[in-house]
Amino acid sequence: MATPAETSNPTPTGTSRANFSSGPSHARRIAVPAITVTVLLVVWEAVVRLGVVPNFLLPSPTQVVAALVGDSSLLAGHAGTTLVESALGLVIGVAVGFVAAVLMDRFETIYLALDPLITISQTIPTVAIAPLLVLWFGYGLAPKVILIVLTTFFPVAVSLVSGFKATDPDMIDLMRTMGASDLQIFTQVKLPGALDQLFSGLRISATYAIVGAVISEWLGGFSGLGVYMTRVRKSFAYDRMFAVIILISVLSLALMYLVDLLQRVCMPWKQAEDE
Amino acid sequence: MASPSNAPALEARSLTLSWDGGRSIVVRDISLTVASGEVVCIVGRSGCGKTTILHALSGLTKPLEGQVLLHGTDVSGVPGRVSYMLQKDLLIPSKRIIDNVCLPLVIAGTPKQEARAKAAPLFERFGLEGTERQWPAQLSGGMRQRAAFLRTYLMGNDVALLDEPFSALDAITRVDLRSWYCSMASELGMASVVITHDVDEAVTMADRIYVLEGNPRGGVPTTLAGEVKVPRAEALASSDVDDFALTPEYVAIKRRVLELLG
Repeated sequence: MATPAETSNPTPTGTSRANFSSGPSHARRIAVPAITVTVLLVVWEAVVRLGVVPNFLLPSPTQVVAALVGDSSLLAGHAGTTLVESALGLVIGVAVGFVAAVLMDRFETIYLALDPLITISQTIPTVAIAPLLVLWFGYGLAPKVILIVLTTFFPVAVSLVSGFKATDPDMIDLMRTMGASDLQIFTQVKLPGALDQLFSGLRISATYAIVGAVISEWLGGFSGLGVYMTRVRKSFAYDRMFAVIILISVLSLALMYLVDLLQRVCMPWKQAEDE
Repeated sequence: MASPSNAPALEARSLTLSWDGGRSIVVRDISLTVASGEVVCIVGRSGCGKTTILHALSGLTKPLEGQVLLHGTDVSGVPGRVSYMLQKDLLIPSKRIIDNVCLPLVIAGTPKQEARAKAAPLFERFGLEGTERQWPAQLSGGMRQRAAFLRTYLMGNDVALLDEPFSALDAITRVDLRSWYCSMASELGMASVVITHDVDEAVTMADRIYVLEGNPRGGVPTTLAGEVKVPRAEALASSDVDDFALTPEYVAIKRRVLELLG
């Protein structure tokens, strides 16, 4: 009974939108930033080699790479510690953020009670609270994980709450006319609808996790990239300082990439929407 | 209450409705009926409370006064007894089409595989063959609305309420889907209440048209201005809905509705 004109309709709006928003080609998107980074590295190397900036203040990129390679086994050990702290903190932070968001969505009183507290908690600088946590919990794993939980739960909770609130009220009405329970409305509509926002929050939390771990390690600990950083700073080994900064940034990028990968697995329909 | 066999599929008796628990009345003393297989349109200006009426008929809200009877049984304020379809198709983006249309069955407790097996044979009949494994984003607006109608059908009720169901579609798809819907509804024996502000849509689709008047936001509760019958049998006899739209009868009915709208 379908009319041919309609069944073969290949979403005209979709294709025209794709044409407008396709933007630069894939090759250009990779080439332009790659050239920019290369030029910057070459200029940096030249500036150091030509003595424009004294070498004891700024190591050249090749010296940084040499430090990275030379210290690789030591760095790997420290990176392992930082990663364990970050992963543990992130998992707990995300869990806490998720539970907080669900409760805030379900019970208005909890939302009203927690909303200002959560916002205020984010105005306290991480570096200010870290020494306090060391005083309370010592030099072990606990203060680091707690600091990461404090910084990572926020993006997840806030993005999830706004995701839940963005649920179309008509969709909820429709579910009710089907006789759906609150739990069914949550699992079938609200949660999948908020996944996009959850992953946006998670991407931010992932970078916070590594940075949070490093900051808490600065203030005391036995191992970790932050501890390594403090040591090389005290010995004025700037090449190693740069090496560890690069490593931290690479780890953060890797974690963000992992989140993207997880999103692609969890949200297969997203690809259909983007096409 | 016993359900007399000659009772209308859905009946609203003297409904008075409010948005805010009775302080301001939106709709006053409206009665209407729909028989099995019949399409009834409710026409009124924007903001006159059409959707409020539909909410009451669907059981999402309880009327301040009056009753909603389904085959003679009082279902006022009881959702889940009549099906409901909106202008937005409201397909869940994260579910494939098959799982979207199966949703009412799954919510009612049918295991997923069983629900899919029940829905799959209906895809061809609803012009949706080949879309089972697709995501909603991959379908055109018309196809999405067909999927929404299949989902409505799988709610298993014989009365469907439609709130401007085709107004988000392009003009050609809209005309196609209107006639498709009417023939499907009569084939399935579904009673339909369609809300629209488009008089042409009402005249082409309906067996009967209820016209509303009033301005609740301006303090004038909406009431029934009148009822217009559409000689549907003759319209269908002329086989083409487009032809019907060119007849003097069509123009006369449209004029009558417009007069009632004021």
